[in-house]
Amino acid sequence: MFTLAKTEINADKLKQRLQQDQCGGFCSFEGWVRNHNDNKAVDYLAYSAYEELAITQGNAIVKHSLETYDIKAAACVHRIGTLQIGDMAVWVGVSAAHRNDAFLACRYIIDTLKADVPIWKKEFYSDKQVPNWLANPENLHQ
Amino acid sequence: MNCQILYFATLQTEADKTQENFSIIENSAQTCADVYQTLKKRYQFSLSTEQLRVAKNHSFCEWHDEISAGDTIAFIPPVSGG
Repeated sequence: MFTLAKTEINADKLKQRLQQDQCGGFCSFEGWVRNHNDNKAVDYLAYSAYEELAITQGNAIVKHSLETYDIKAAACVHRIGTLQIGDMAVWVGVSAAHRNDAFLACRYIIDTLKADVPIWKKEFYSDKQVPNWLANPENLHQ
Repeated sequence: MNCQILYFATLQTEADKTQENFSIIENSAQTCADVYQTLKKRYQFSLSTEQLRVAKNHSFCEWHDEISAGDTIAFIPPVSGG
């Protein structure tokens, strides 16, 4: 399942929910806020979302991963609001009997989220330049 | 006969608002594209329909889809999640 979170993501709790006895492999991805982008020093980020559509699209992506790959469970959580350097912005977790499809599904979920889910990131810079709304190169439709 | 317009990211900054009501009749709008063209002129939006997606009632739709009173229309700038 896909959810939006207004507070800190608890990765350990999310991972525990995906653990199953028949799974021998678990793969997760964490996206963290870094301190630079495009040769600029970043102070912090603000994420916003079209919440109704983001949840629909995010759930569709997770559902598609379960239908496409040989995995047992998958989940994704994305933060919205103001995030500081080092904060976790997104978490993806996949459990499977074997590692190959766990890796593939995890990659699929984050790549497709970055292309398709209506969430936006605004960067605020250390030198106080005008904050910038970003666009992912992964966008499939532009 | 109004529909509700939702703005996000760059368009939210350029319109200086998150949402507004839009009169279908006053603006002679029949499709999502008609709505956007009217608002693009009004707010001097920097993005064209080629750079955006559009959603109606919280689902992606096509620019040529017709609009009805009570619809919620959202213009989706290039996304940047993750």
